[in-house]
Amino acid sequence: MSLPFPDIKPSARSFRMGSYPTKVYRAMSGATVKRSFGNKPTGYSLSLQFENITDAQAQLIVKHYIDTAAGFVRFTLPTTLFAGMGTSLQTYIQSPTGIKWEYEQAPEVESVITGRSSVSVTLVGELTV
Amino acid sequence: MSEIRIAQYFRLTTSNGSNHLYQNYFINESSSYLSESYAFAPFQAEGTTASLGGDNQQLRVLFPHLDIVLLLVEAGNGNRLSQLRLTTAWITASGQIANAVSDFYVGVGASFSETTIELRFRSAIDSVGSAFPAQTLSRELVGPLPLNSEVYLR
Repeated sequence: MSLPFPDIKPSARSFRMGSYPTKVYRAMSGATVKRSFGNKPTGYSLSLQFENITDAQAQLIVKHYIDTAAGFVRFTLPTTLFAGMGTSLQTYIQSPTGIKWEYEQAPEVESVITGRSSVSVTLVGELTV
Repeated sequence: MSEIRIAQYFRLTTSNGSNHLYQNYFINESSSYLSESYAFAPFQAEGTTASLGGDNQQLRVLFPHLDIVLLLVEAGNGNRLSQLRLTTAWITASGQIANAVSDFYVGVGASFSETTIELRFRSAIDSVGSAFPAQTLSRELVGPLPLNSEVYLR
């Protein structure tokens, strides 16, 4: 089942690359050995801010959260979320190899004026096996 | 800082003779070892391979509670009739196998939790590994080899 994130342009966006699974052994001497456990990064993070969107748009996000979180469904991200970003950079962020997205926490909705809300969303991109 | 990359290659032969091949390093990829293709599975292996006292401690292979792992356990009759070759391979930065060491085990059961399935194994060689007379010990001479450390010389 594929339930892509709603097609809404964010007003702010912050991204953190995933990291490779490693563990460091540090001897008493201070010498370190790092062991790698896999050949792909995981744990990407994407924070999105939607300022003053319509309540209907906010409802799309809330409904998407319910639909995906209830069924543990990971999802893909539409190109609209990366508006203003260069295409080559976007490919690294929008769909890293083997990565699908899920909500790190429930969306936060703040009422602005009648019919308008601001929504904060934090997504995490994990390797899907 | 030294860096090491270690992959484990899990080759399980179940009671019906079929082989199940998995590796845990190359994510969502297949990796070839000894001309056989190993699919990716998110498992980890921990435990003792052999001890001087012949204690025959367990090796545990931990899988997430996936349906394919359930099938793996059931194909080995609850992992009691399976044989495992577990290979530890050192991987180069370019993803090639530099060195590899294999150990052999027999299945002694499995356990389940809400998130994991643990396959348990013991080494048939461990119980004759130490302080044993320099004699040949084979299945033809002594019958089935022991799975524990209770070996009696008469």
